[in-house]
Amino acid sequence: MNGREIVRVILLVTSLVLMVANLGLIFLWVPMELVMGQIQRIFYFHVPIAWVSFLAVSIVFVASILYLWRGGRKWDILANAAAEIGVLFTTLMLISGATWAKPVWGVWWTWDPRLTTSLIMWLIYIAYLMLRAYAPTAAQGARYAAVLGIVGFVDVPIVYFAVEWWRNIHPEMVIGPLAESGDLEGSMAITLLFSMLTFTALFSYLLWERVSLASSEDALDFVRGLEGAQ
Amino acid sequence: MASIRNRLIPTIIVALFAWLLSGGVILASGTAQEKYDREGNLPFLFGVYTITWIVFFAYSFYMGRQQRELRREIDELKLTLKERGASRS
Repeated sequence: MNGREIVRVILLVTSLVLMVANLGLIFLWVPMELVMGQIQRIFYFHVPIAWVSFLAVSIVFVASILYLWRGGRKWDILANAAAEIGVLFTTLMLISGATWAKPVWGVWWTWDPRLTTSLIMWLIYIAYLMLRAYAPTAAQGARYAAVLGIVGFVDVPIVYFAVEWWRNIHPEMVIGPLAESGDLEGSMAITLLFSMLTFTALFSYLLWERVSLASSEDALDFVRGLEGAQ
Repeated sequence: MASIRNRLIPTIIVALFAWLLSGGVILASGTAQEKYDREGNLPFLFGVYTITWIVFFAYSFYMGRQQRELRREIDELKLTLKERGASRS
């Protein structure tokens, strides 16, 4: 087993152990919320998934800047991998939000500012993947996508601050600099933090796997090119 | 090969989103018209958890399959290079 493989196994095992413990905390330990009841337990998946979505698109932003500034295929690979996983998590954020909204608000979807800006964020990163996929050459696709990865990040603070700027139906923030302390009961706060740690570990594993896969593809393409040249 | 796969990814993601959303609608249709119940709404709760797990497993499975395909191609390439080396000597 080489170093990469060891890191991969550590990340995988850590994610699985944390995920099982997280389910135990959510379904067995944390008490039921009094107003919404059982459905509120979606919160312990929805908020951490949203956090990881933001983390993923932040990585796309930083890696895109580094790719345009310094060059280097590794930044492009990192940005692409983070964007793909970011789309996955944003999709789950929208699905979990809609499924939570139906019994609580009575609708699957409403054009609330937080929901609308989140949908825009999802569309931006779908466009990022499509731009990369349909560009005439891989190098052009990487450059265009990097520009979109930087410009598209403008939407992220808008998503975060949307509930402050335009008060509407979506609840206020429970994490981050604008969250009011003491909003959550102790065991709920602990479960939320543990869940965020779990999803961050899962994201790290998926990112590691995706970057390794893309690097291997690159290496194989290179060797294939050498072989073809012989 | 790689470019076809890259083009497929966004399409698969959009299709998956639509499919899962429609699945959620079907799953919850039995309780959607019921009066709000604090103890109820469990299909919504389990729907979200199930979908999340399915998506993660599907994505991990997709990456695992790509990895296997890559390994197979590397083995083929190694064999080709070996055969070429043997024929030269």
